[in-house]
Amino acid sequence: MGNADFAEFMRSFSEATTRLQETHAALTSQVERLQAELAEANERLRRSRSLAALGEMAAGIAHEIRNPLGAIALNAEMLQQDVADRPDSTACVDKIRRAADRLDRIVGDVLSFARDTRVHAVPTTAREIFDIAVADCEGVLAKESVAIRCEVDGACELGADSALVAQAVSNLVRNAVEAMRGATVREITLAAREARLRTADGIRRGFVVLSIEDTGPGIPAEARERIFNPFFTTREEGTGLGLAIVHRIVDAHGGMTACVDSTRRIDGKQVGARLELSLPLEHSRMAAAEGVSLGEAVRRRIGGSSHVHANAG
Amino acid sequence: MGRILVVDDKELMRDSVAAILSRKGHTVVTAADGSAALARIADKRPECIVTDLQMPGMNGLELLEQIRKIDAELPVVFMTAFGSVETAVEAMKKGAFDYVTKPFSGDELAISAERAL
Repeated sequence: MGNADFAEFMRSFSEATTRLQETHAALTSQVERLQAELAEANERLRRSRSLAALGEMAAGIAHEIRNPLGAIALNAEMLQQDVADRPDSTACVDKIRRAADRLDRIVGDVLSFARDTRVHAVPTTAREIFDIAVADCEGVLAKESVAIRCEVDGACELGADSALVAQAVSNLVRNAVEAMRGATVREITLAAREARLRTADGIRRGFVVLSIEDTGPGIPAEARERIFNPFFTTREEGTGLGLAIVHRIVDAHGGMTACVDSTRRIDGKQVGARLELSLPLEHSRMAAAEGVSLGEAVRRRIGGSSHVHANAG
Repeated sequence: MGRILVVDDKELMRDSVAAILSRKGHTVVTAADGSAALARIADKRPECIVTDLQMPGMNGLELLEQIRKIDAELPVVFMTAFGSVETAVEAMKKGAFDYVTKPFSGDELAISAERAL
């Protein structure tokens, strides 16, 4: 081999080494990103499972409570008739009845959270879901003087149980209205867009992301992790099941819930809370694989063949 | 005013329902389970039966089937829990007269039972 040949050989070798190093760096960063996404997906799966177990237990207790509670209410009703001519006693009985009513609403919340959420998916649009939810909240929005607007980006057509999803949106709107009590600016923005997101099985799918944003005090960072857990509440009244019911509905659609940074600014200051519900375009947990799994992505990047596949196993 | 048989395995609920209906002027007899209810019916036919749906042993639906074997007309009103609407619908198909969902007020129950009389 002459000097020229050797120099040519070295140049080729050096170029190949550089390409390999670049490929290695790119692969490493992609694996890290995919691993982070997978960890996040696994965390969502863990939350769904623990919610289901908690729901089952809560429903058992709620059923046991409802019978004696029914007896308390019926007997208070009879007692109220007996003491109708005694104002002091009537006031006492009235408190018993109101307390029983309140307990019954809590039990109702627990049962509605725990009951099997059956999804009857039909072709619908984000616009239709928002319309149902806004109509449902019209009374409370007017009463609390809250302005609401809808921004739908693109078609945002999806297969979903519009009544159930509207119930989830409506729960979030009601929460937002309560959170904004005392705030000077009281606005809610409902927005929808299409996005491709990675699901728990590591596959990228098409989603419609519904977001609900308000101008209230926002949700503290430490509460965001727990906000969809049952019985977690920052309010004095309320069961803490509103958001857990939202999570249950979205989960039943094979979707995802998230509490993210608000995009609203008032006088340059970030305000409000932003919750996102991501619903698959096609309602099916077994939807055709449009994307690729972690392993498949790595194999493709390496340019692997069935040979690599066999070795990778 | 009529003769009403109240069937519920839970004593507190059974007695409360019986008391409410008695106050409305009805003659109320009670039974703690399906077999006791059938014995009561055989002993003296009530004009209406108010029964819980979920009971150990013979449940409300099975009791209804047994009642239909001896009386095709006897009205049966079910007391059902939240979330068992499907079961209540099945009960209606099997010939129940009506159902009330827990929690119900005394008036609500009385109206259902009185319509059956």
